[in-house]
Amino acid sequence: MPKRKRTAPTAAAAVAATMSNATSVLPQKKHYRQRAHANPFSDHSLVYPSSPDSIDWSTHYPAFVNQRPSFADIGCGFGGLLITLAPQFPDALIIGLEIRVQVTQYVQDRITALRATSDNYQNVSVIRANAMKFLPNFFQKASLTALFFLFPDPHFKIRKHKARIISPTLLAEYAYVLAPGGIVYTITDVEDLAQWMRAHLDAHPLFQFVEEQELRNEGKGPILDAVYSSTEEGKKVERNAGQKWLACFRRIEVKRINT
Amino acid sequence: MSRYPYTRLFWQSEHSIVIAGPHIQVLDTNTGDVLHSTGKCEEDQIAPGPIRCAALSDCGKYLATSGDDKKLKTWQVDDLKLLSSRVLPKKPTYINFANHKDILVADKFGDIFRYQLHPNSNESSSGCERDALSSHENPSGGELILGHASLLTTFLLTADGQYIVTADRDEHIRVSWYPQGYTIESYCLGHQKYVSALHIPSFSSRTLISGGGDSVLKIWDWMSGKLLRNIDVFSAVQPFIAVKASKKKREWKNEDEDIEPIEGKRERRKNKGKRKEKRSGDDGDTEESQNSATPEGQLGEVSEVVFVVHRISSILLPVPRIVFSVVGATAIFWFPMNDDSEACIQHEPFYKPIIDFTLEDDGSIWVLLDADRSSQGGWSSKGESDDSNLVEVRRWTLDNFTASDPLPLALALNSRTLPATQADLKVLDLYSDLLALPKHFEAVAEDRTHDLSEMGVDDVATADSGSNDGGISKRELGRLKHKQALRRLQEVGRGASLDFEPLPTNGKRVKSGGRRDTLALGMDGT
Repeated sequence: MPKRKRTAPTAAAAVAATMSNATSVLPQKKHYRQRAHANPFSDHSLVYPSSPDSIDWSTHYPAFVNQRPSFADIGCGFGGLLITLAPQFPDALIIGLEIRVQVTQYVQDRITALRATSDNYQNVSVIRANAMKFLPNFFQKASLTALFFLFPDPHFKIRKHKARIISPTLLAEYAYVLAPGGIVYTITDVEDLAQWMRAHLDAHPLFQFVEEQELRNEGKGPILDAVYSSTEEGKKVERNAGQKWLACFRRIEVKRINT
Repeated sequence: MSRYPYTRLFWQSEHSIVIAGPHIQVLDTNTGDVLHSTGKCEEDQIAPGPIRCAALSDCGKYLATSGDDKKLKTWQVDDLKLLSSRVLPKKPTYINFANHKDILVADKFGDIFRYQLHPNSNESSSGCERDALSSHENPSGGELILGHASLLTTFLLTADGQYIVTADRDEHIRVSWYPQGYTIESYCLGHQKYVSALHIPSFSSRTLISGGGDSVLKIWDWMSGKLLRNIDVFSAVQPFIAVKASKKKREWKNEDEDIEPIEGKRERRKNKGKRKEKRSGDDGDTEESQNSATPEGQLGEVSEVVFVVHRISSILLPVPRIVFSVVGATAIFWFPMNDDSEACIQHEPFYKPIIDFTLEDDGSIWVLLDADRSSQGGWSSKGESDDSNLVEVRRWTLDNFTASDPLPLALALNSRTLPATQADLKVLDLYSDLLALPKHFEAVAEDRTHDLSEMGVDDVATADSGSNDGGISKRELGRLKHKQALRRLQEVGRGASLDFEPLPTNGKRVKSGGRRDTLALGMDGT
């Protein structure tokens, strides 16, 4: 015990030193707080490309030439997943889409700061976008290998269920941007929503449920770990000792039914 | 007494069908005799409001109609018998038949449902109750084919019936398999504004022509989604746009909820409840009423040209041509369909706003006119404009139109009109697209932090001292400080960042070099 007493202040001082230096560069969430909900159906004054051809990805990833994102985090929030995955998959371009202006700005400032202080994070970026309306404006057909829906807005009221990010009709768009074999990762701490996402993805002909272990065997363990615990929401659930429901699905192909 | 203009005509060699307000009429094409009319039906068969969407089956025997009452009605053309009436989940925007026996309904929520022509028992029984997992209301048990997260304006099926092409208010054109609408073949992307009309010519089945709010029509290879050509049409059309959207309607504030209220919360709440809004400026207290589509003429209103392509069609004889009409415009427009030459837009004037048109294979064009509409936007009673026809027919020769001999059907349609009151005509709301399709937001000073980040260090110091009344919030200031620290760091160069360890790779606190590095945690400031 005496030993710990001696070292603890030193460690704390080191942390404090780092903190004081770091806070001056990294943005703070408290400066970017914003209400948690946005109406996906209203006409936000968004800027979005008229088609994926018109995007210059090099403005997002100056260190990469002629490469398009292959991981997309839909509703990336404060960017926990992006920042965690970026150094682990340095060859994959990772993009976060977030509808809230302030939150997007935070992630952007955070990436800028991280890039200035590290050699990593050249492969991660964020865009303010309404993914429910404009996903095909950003991504070519079959261009993604992973699509993340982490702790999405539960829209508890039945009347609001239509605003959920997973719906039978929107799944067609997710299937369109995903390459065959690509994975949709979903996780939530709301049991209702977990059942909803599972049911609709199960019912969709272009998606097939994959067990977590199967993905781990394929080497996707680090992704799953990040899905569980890298996001702000994921950490909050852990602090509150809440339960998390993970469900992953593989994009499959189907044949035409001739009527 | 005023009269109903005709909003839709289905020309057939024996029985032609015309829609006027809430009414359907079946006429003998050769004699012009009115064979059946819902004008004589009992009240409960007629929709309380006008018919907004109508489609005729391929065989010509069945008619499907719907309106603001959200009921899909099917009729037998022979005797105008109402076969069925089904409740739709949302207001329909477009209806058409598919593969003879199915009816497809597109709605304002962006979905397309498929209904059988003849409702079977399980259609009516299923889907009435919403459970916790149902994403869509589906009162009549239709089959959900696909959906956009935007108002679906129009759709078409390809000639082979294998693909469905859908268009929405958010500039998308989507090509999906049919009936497996969950498989998207391609998107035709490039429009900058709403898409309101689609057409695939019978003589060029791989080509899609689209139009909407953009100044061009776009020609696509729809299978690949590749844009082949833009045809500039707006300059040719603009002089003929007679009906304009009232600017007053378009002054709604952006209801974007996630923008920080700049002008104070109290005002925002007011804007939210009902879509009424106080006009800023001198007449700040006059509340705007909800009259829709009242064109120019009211005090203090500024009208604005809104361009909406209404219908695109094509005709093979005498030469392949693309023909189109524009909401509120007084002419029909066309251009030759060949790949290389610069398209020259030609027009035929009709002097009254054109509601719709129908092409016949023999080169005839039937044009439905809003003939009684006065320039003030009201409607004159029949007496004043007795001579103006609601229906005009022209026949195409190689270079231009000729008025054909008066056809019995046209004579009948122009003489035996259906009476309507001024109130009826107002409800008809023929030009609602001019207000409904454009997006109603103003450019908002959205991201003030961008402007702030341009400020120098000195500015921050002054802003800091006067932060309460200076207009810069604590938050903005906080962000600014971090940004400037970053800028200083960048200026000094990488040498200054030696204090920073390489960032941990899994977001958890890791020991590195004997001390904890918390950088990657993102400094949760809560």
